[in-house]
Amino acid sequence: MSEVVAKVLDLARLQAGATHVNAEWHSLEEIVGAALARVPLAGHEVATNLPAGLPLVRLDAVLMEQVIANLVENAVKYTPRGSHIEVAAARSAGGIAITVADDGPGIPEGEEERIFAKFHRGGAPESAPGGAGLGLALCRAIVEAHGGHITAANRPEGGALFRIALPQGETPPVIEDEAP
Amino acid sequence: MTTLRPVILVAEDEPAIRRFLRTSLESQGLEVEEAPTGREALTLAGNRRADVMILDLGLPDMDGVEVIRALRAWSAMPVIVLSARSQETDKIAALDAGADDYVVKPFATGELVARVKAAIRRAARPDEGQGPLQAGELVIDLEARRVLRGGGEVKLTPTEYRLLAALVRHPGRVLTQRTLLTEVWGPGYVERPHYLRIFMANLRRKLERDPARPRHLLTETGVGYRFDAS
Repeated sequence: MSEVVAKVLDLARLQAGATHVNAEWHSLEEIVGAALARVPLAGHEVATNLPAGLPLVRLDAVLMEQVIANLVENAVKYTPRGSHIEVAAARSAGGIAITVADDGPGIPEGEEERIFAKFHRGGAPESAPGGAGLGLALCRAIVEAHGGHITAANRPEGGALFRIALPQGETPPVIEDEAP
Repeated sequence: MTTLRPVILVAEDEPAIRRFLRTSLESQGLEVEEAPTGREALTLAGNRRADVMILDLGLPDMDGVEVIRALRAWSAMPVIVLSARSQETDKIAALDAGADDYVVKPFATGELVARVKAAIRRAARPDEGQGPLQAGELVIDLEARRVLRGGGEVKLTPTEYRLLAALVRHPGRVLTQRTLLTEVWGPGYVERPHYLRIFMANLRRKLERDPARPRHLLTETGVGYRFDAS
């Protein structure tokens, strides 16, 4: 129960603009890695596709790690054991896009937007562990607090696809190094 | 029979948590001493044999950071801090003051016990003068300034090497961004954490099989980094 209360409070603070977004330049590879390290993958195959040339992104690492961990946790929860999950990032028009895709049953038609509502529970299989239905609402609040947006869709080839678009306003810093 | 079980000093004011920690740690063959205040923790640390301190940051009489500073004046005993999720700043202050590691409440017993055991192992093996460090397919020889991966030499830039060395000198210990920036670039660079991101990414590309899922160069998000030699 305490986790549910914590999520409700997090959400309320974010929506009221009371959460300070502690933005610093970060590497997405590092944030994705830290998120994957904390999610029990329960027999799912998780791949990453994070090109080496991705620029640093200005964001709150603690909050964004929470978003990515939440999306991967959902992918684990709503797909059968052995399913494939991919976390990828790429430059997009005006910013960076992070995607979390799976090859599971996908999102029920017409639910793609509603799943981000507070207390919405997905049609989890009977065996899936319960949740408060706050995770995706929290993800959306965090991404929007960064000036970005998050959407969900079904992939043409099957499975769910969550896409986070983050703006890249400033140019990331460049640092020179000496030769080895 | 003489018992040589490691002794864990639990500095925690809530009796329920102390009891829970005692049960969890004793079931793993560890001995437990309890201190409900910071002062008692320091007295016990001074009077008795203790191998590791588990320190709650919210003690009634003393700030956790003060306890660490006082302890560090005369003891290198590993300190694992217990902190609430929202205490990011306190956690960093505790690590900067000399704590070795932290566990966020509510914590899983398995995780805490693993951290305690890792701290006992580290304390039994001083950080320096132990020859090359083997970590998976890596061999890191700080004296010879050489790094091998799978038997082949890895070419590191001087900055990459300094960053790796700073982490490797304290395997398992969480080093804050401030500590690493100060040690590698100097005190004028503590406001430039992006230096760490870039050089850590470079190091991972050279030393990790999958830089996105590192095995040794681990991120403690919002806090710092840790070198895991296992």
